[in-house]
Amino acid sequence: MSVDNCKSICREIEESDYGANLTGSAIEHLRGCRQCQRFYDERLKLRQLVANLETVAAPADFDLRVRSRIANERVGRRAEFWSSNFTFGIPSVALASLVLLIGGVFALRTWNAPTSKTVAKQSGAPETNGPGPQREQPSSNGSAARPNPDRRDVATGSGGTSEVTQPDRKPKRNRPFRSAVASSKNGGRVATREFSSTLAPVIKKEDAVASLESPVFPIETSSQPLRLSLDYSGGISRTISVPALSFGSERVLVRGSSSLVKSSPKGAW
Amino acid sequence: METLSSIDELSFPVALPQELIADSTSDHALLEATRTGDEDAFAELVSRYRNQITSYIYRMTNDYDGAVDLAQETFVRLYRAVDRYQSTYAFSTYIYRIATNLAISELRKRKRRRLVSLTGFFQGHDGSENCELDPVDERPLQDTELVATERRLAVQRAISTLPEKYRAPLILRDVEGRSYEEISRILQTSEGTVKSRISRARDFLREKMKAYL
Repeated sequence: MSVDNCKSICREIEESDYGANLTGSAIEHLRGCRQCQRFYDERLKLRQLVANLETVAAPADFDLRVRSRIANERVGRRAEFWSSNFTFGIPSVALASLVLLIGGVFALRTWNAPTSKTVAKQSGAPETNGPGPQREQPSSNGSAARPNPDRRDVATGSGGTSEVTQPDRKPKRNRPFRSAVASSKNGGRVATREFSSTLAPVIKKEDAVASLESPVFPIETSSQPLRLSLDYSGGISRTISVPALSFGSERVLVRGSSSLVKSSPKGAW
Repeated sequence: METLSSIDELSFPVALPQELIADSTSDHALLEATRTGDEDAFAELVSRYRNQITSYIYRMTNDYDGAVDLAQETFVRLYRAVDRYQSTYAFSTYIYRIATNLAISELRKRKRRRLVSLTGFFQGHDGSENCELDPVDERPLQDTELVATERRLAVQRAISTLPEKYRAPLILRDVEGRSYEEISRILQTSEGTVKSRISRARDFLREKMKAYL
């Protein structure tokens, strides 16, 4: 008995249909080969065991359930058809994210653009600027102006009073303003709007002081809430309203060569 | 030439019972009728294959309720894709392919979920399926029917521990009695692969069922 012959017989046994007779040569071989005979017997028993597994019956309501599922699917498809226009797929979400991102970047740029532009303008041409740069210039009698944190530059615009260094009551909503205050404290330039270029009359501090005999000059609107208007070049303007002060104000005014500290009654600055 | 006195004397062929007509209709014809919207034709297809498909999926998954559910899903998918059906191969090949894919998907889902099942007793701790079957109780049983039932259960459990790539061809060949050619079409593999997998599956099964051989 050759090994090749045994292999081919085993293959024949393996591939034969269950219950089918083997070829004559295979039967002849099995009679003389113990190993192949044992393999045949094992395989036959195994296939008998497996083939004896009974067919499992489907439940009685199987057809009904299939019909029901198909009907449900049809209803689902109809609903899907109507709601398909309103579903948010991945492309829609991506598009929405992109739009939000672009919008966010644009808003951020719009928010930051006026401050940086004004600072750049003022640093580029300090002489022509309004009240801010004038603080740096020496006074008329030659003495250098002492940096005074309490001193304020006043510019009256069209119907309102603007004070650049007004303390911020709403810090979160006025970030450029806060940064301007911070930069002024650090000795940097104050980022403000130049009102001299507008049609509104500009009252400079020196003029206001010079026109008054007394260093105390009243502001007619002191009984009203103090309003600070910041007009950005980007078309955005902000108004900060500070309630009227209920205490007497104290200001240091430079007049001539001496500094005067005056206490003024309520309603006078 | 014989003269007929009335029309009643005309001999018409005896009408076949409706069941016989339905049985004689090929699966392809029923599917064509389903395509045109004939619900009864589809119902006929379901009634022809429901037991076979349920049984086949049950052998694959060893879970009757799950098998019934998957068998229903098989018919739903068949209905859904009835327009795409091409009558190149036998209808049974087509429906068995759907059922096989569903059963294999279910087995893979279970493997991911690590569900505790009856077959868990035969599975290794690492999730491998190649571990030994419990030794057989050698005590003689009085009732031969009980013996047969117990043997069938053991075979079913042994089959369910086979790796899925061996399980499907073995069931299709030795339980369902499909030809190698048909199995290769159902499983979309070559005939040689099917033959070697069946041979390997039988070797696995022989090891597990030693006590019964």
